[in-house]
Amino acid sequence: MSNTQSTQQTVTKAQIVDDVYRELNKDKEQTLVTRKASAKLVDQVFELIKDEIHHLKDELDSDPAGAEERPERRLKISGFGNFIIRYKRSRPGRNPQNGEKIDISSRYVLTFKPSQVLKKAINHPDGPEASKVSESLS
Amino acid sequence: MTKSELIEKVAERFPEYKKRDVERAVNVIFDSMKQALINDHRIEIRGLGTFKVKERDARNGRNPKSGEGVEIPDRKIPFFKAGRALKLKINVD
Repeated sequence: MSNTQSTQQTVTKAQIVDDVYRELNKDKEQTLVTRKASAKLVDQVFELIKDEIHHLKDELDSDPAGAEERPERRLKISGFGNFIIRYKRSRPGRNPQNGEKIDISSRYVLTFKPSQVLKKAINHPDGPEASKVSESLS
Repeated sequence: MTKSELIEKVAERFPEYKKRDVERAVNVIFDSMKQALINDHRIEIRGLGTFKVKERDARNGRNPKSGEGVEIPDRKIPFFKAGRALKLKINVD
């Protein structure tokens, strides 16, 4: 566990597009889905996720239960985790730098709750939870 | 919304693909992200946010039901931080 911030690699959409491209074209003699089309697919998936988060926020906004019930909405990705959107009431706070009193306005927050499968996979890379839905990822 | 509903929506936007292929693509996206976190990599999705793995030291905990002391081993926990653009999007209309 000597991994430090400075040596940590960052995975971006490019890597994900690459994995999707390889998966969709495996066992095929000709390319079925181009890299460009794979990128479009990945983009749309993330766009839909963002749209859904926005939509869930609007739903919360019009929830008659209001803040008292601490309502929340979830976007559930089985095997990965839940994206949870919550409403936070305004509350008094302090600027930690100078102790000055400030009012923290009401807001919506987006959090992620990892699934048990994801947590186990990260802690036991050789265990069954780390295996993939598709076998093409190396 | 669930993953299967997400797959439905993606399939609607790509009628040229077989539903099965869309399903595979969506699964690979999350597998790819899972694999990145297993490899201790950070994931950055523009417009959405970042995922990373943090380490938690072992500590002595307590079973809240029985009050019994238990040892909690060191472990890794995945974290997500919403991107600025998305935070703004859900707070300003």
